[in-house]
Amino acid sequence: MKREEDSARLLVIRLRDGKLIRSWPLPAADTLEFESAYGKLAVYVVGIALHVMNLEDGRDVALMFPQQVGETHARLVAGGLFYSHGRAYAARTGQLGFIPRSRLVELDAVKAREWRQPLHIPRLSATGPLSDAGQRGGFA
Amino acid sequence: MSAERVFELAPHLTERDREIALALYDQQLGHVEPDADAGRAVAPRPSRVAELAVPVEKLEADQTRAFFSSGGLRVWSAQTGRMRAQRGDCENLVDLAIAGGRVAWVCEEQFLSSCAATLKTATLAQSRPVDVVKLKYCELSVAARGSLVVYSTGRKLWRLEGSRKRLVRIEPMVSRPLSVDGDRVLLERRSGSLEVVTAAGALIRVLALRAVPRTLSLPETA
Repeated sequence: MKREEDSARLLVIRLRDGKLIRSWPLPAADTLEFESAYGKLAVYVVGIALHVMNLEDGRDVALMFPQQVGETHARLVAGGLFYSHGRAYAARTGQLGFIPRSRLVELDAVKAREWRQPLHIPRLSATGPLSDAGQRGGFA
Repeated sequence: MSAERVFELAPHLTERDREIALALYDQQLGHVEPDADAGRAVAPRPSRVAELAVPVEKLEADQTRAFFSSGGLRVWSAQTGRMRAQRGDCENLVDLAIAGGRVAWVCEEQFLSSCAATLKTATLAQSRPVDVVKLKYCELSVAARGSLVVYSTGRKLWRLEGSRKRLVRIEPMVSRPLSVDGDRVLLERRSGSLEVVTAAGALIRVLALRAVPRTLSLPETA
């Protein structure tokens, strides 16, 4: 996740060649946190809202939880999504849950928003090996 | 709706009323609808839910288990629903990780003019924690997944084999592991550039981005 001034983008980089293959716009918000990625899915939090994004096509859904307040956390694993949030008007004010991957895929099938198309994708070029025998990539 | 907007709609409020309203507003601040601008809002169907006395402060997960801090360290199985307390609470928990049956976490202690950090580890079978390393400075961070647990002590990247440490690599500058996948480790250098190395210490790639990324991860297929 990259933030520049008032905008933020989620970048997907192919490790094989260091090429930037996707760049998805994210909501401009002060409280924007990338949480986790696994396979083609990524999760991030805007305010308290947990978003699941398909990294291939940019489709994005916000997950609604009853009585949700406070900090939200999430981690994607092979089998699904662990998440946590606070609960208002409850004696036990924390909640931890797990959504299986099959149910995440159902959520992922929602219609894409038109504006959520890949925009300017800068070219990431290899600029030669470093002194420690690695490769360096940078936006051209 | 912002606090200012609330006051605009209720200009008759006295100063005292406003204080009370603001306090109530602060308590309910998080109770808002998810941001619809960035996608459609849907109600998920979790297969398992655990109610906790206090909200989660830090969360990590691997396979079917979550390792988290919520008034103490705990491990929760999404498969069985079993919750287990992990011994080894600390004054200031700064990082935690879980890889299969092993958990690890970093505690910091702040003194008047210094800071100390300790990496602790335990297994799900043996919850008594073991101190792996203690530093007199606070540059410890840990990441894990699958069977790999790595941590950095500034410029040095280490691998945890059981409760023993093994040096993986010495970086040219202070770096910290952000994410682990298979035998690959994603490191963030202090300069903001990213580096992917193998668990054996071989450098796969360095990525220099124009803007410093806020947060990163190493998804399986990226």
